[in-house]
Amino acid sequence: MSTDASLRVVGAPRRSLFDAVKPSEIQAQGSRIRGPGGMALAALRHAGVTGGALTPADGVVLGGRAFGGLREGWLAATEEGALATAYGVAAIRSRRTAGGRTWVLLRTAALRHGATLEAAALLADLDPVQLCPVIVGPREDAPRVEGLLRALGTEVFAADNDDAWSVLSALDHVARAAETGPAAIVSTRVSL
Amino acid sequence: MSEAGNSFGEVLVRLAGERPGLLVVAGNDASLVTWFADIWPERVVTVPPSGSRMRVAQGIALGGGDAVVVLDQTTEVLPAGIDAPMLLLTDDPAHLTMAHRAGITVCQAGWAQDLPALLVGALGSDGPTLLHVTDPLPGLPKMPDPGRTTFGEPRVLHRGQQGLLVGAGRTAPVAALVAQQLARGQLDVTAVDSHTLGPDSGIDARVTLDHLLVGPLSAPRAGALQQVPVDPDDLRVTVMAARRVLET
Repeated sequence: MSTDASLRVVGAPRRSLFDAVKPSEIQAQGSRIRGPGGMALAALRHAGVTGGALTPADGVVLGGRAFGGLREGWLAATEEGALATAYGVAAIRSRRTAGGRTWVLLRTAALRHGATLEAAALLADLDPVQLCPVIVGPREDAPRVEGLLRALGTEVFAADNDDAWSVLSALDHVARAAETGPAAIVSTRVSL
Repeated sequence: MSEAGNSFGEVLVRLAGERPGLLVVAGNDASLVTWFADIWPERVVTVPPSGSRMRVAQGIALGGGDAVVVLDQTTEVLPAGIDAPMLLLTDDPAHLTMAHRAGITVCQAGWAQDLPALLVGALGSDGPTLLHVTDPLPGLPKMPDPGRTTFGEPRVLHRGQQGLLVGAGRTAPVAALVAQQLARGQLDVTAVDSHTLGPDSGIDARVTLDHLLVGPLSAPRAGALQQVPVDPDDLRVTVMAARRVLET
C-alpha cells in the first residue's frame, strides 16, 4: 500500500457540488437561457457552484459576447483570447490565500481561432492553477473539440448541456482534475 | 548581463518582495529577468508564444496582480485587445517602433536611480507600458542623478527661455550636457528628460536613442520638434547642430 493511500481517512466526506446545489434549480434556470450558455451558464451563475458567502468565490471569465452580461466579480475577455487570459487570472488567484477555481466559458467556435488553439496547447506545459474551461456548443462539434483537447493533453469531461445533472457532474469532475493538470468540460446540445 | 539589466533586475527583485501579486511572464529567452528568476522562480510563468504571453499577462492584471512581460525576438506585433496595465520589458529597440504603432506608452530611464519610481508608476498606469532597458551612451561624462522623478511627468534638467531640448533614456544626460554648453554660449534653453513618451507625443521613441529633439519652448508636442543626431564621441557637433536649429 502506498504512503498516500495509508494516510487517507476512510469514510471521510467527499464534498461534491451535489451537496451544495439542487440540480432541479439549475435545470429550471438553464432551460430559460437562450443562446449557447444553457445549463453550463446557469450552473456558473449559481452561488453553490462558484461560491457563496461562506466560501471564497470562484473567478469566472466569459469568452466573448455570446453569454450575455457579466455578474458582479466576473470578467470579460475576447473569444479568441479568453483561454490564455483566464490562465492569467487563475495564476494570480492561485497565489492568493483566498484561492478558489477559475472557470472560463467558451463556445466551441473559439477553438477555431489560432490564439485559442495556441493557449490550449500551452496548458499541458504550465503549472496547474485550478483553471476549469467550460466549452459549450452544438453536439456536432463535440467529436472535433473533444479529440482536439485530448490530443493536446487535456483531460476532457463530456456533458449534455440540456441536462443539469450531467453538467453538474462534469463540473464536479473537472474541478478535481484541474488541481493536478489541464482539464476541460465539453458541454454540447442538439441543435434545433 | 548589461549594467542596465543588472540595475533593473535588482529593482524588480525588491519590488516583488513588496508586492506578492507580481508575476513575470517570459518566453524561452528570459535573460532580462535572470536574477529575478533565480530568486523568485515560482513567480515566473513561461509562455513561449508571444501573443499568449501578453494575454496571460492581461489575465494577471485583470485578476488584480502586477504583470511584467518579457518581450523577445519572437515578439513582432502586439495582439489586439491588450489594454490592461502591464509592464512590457525589452532591450530591443525594434520594440519601440512596435509600441509606437500600437499606441503604447514607452518609458526609458536615463539614470538607474529612476528605475524604481518609473517601474512602480508604469505598473500603476491605465494601460500597458513598454520599458526599454538600455545601457548609457559610451564616452559621456558621468552626469549626477538629477533627483526625484515621477512616471508620466517630464523632468526639467536645465531651465532657459530660448528653446527646448528633449532627451529620453540614454539621451537624457546628453540633453543636460548640451544645455549646459549652450548656456556657456549665451543661449539658455530648457532641457527635459522625457522618460515617458505616450502615443500623443507623436514620435517613435526609437528616435530618442540617438537623437535630441530640439525646437521652440512653445512646441505643442515632441513630434513637432526637430531631430538632432547625437554623437557621443564629439558632443560639440551636437551642440552646434542644436544651436543652428534654435537660431533659425
